[in-house]
Amino acid sequence: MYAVNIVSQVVYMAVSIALLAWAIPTYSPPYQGFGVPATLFPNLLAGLILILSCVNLLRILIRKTGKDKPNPLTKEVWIKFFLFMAVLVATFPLMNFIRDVSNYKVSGFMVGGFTVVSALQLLMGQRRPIVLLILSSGTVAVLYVAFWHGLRVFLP
Amino acid sequence: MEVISGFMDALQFMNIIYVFIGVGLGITVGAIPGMSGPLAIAMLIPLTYFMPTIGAIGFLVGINKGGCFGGSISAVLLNTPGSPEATASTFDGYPMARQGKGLKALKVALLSSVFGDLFSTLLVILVAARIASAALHMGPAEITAILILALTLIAALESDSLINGIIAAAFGLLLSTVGMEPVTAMPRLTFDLFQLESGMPVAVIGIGLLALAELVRQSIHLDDTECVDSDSIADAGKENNRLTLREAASLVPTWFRSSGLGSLIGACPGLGATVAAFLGYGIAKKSAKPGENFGEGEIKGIAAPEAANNAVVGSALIPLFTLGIPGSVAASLLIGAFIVHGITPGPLMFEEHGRAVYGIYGSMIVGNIATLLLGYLGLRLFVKVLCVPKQMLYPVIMFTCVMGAYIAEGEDFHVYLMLIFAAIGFLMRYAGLSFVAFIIGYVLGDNFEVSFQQMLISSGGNPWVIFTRPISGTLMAITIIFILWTVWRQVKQGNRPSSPMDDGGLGS
Repeated sequence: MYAVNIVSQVVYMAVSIALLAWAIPTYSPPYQGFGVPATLFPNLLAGLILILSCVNLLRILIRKTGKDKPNPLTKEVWIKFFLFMAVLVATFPLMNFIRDVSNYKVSGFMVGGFTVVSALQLLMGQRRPIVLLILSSGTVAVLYVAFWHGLRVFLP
Repeated sequence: MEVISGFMDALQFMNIIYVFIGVGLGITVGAIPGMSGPLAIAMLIPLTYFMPTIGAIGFLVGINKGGCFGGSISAVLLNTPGSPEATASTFDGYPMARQGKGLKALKVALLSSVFGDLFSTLLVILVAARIASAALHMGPAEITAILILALTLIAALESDSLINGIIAAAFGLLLSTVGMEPVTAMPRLTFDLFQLESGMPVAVIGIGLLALAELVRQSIHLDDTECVDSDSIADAGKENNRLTLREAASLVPTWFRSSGLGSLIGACPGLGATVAAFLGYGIAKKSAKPGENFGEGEIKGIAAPEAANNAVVGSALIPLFTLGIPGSVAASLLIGAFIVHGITPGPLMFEEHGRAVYGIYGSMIVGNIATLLLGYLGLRLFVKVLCVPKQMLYPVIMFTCVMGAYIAEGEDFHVYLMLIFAAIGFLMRYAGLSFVAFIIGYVLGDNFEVSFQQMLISSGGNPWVIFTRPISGTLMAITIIFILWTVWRQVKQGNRPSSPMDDGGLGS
């Protein structure tokens, strides 16, 4: 936990420095000469985050906060996290790809959705093929009816 | 006239149906350990884009009401609170269930929930308009000061460390600066992405930060709880599970005391339903009469926390309706729904959208009736939800989250944005950064910046005006005293930033 505490404060410091030195000046409109500069509010907040994260980091280093606790972000947690995120990030590219290949409306949603729900179930330890099949096809069918016919939302 | 028209709107058939569906979904979701009303609200906000205003808000408020009661089902039957605020209900609820009085415990929880909720709803109706009319006299310095106080309270109370809480709130405020700058109306911090020019939708952030991040975290640490067969509840002796009129009458003083306490806590941003439930339980236990065995299956031990935590649901809307300040995560998500339907919560809401406000009040009362009816008639059905394995449930909900982010804006971009927030929310949970303070900071950001800029412009660039005006000065003094008190308390306790894994997940 000690390492997590230190790394998290360093990340806040890095983000606030990046904002102060690069993002806010680059991506804010120039001062018009009246009112308040557009950079003032974000600069104040980024400055506040920088100061507080420095204070927190010092406090953690002095008190050795969290040294008595194990690191909750183990290798296993990271692997599972990336696997879940990979499946979720792949959802729309997969749907769009299948739609483009099959050239048929909502085929991307149907096949892609089925694949994604199945993959998520497998990641959660589901191994029974019948459950995988029924739950994946059932979810996609219900959402298809709800979104396409109920809400009239365009699906990939 | 607006009052009658508003209440008539709430009584339209479709609006009633939406509230009933919301309450039903809320009870179902609330009953599942690890899931809660705010999580369901975040997930389902995009659906409300397709509903009429009163139906949409009623639907979301219904989810929150149902979710708060639903949490008590698993608390009583499994000794596992469905949501953090139901934790205190396990102290006497579970012992009752073990004595074969599970159904009676749930009846007490239901009646107490409905009473607490109705009490706070009536309080909102009585006081909100009066506070709002007083709030109309506040200038930018007062609004800025009240927002600083609210954010400080939320940062301190929703996080184990005040500094981490303020950092989280500051990140939320910073995120709100993405989009159009209020003075020049030119894009700011959009990184040349046109999709960010109108800012980031609360629904997209909510789905990622609250719902998906929590689901991924729970999926990684999957721990399916035991299943309760609803037949075992039905088979339990009828005599054991009958709640007599005399017993119900004996609960009335507890209901009033806990509801009053819950309403007071709910009206203060950041304190939340969990604090109310524990305080309600503590006071009931302290005022116990001889023969009342708290911790061994005492019905007042269920009535007190349930009335208190449900009273928070309604009264958390007081700061939202009167000042535009969300008192809880659920209220902050409601702001997103309000804005989508063209209503900006705050003191002007009563003047500009009076009919809609009374319609929402009507829906809140319908929500209480729905909780009572659905809770009583469908108790055995909701208990069955506890038997659905998370292995089956979570993949479906995760996929629904992805599709929810898509229908929120109809673009792939917002799905990726939601996934970025899911990753951030996941890491925040391990780093001890309060996602509650973050999301409330984000929601308050626009209002904060505009008030801050107006204060500076009207005072000729003098920021110290916030300390020199009487009301804003008093509010700032309270903020400083609160900060000093929190720092003193944390130093005394040997403060350490801890993982939010200890605090039970979602705040209310």
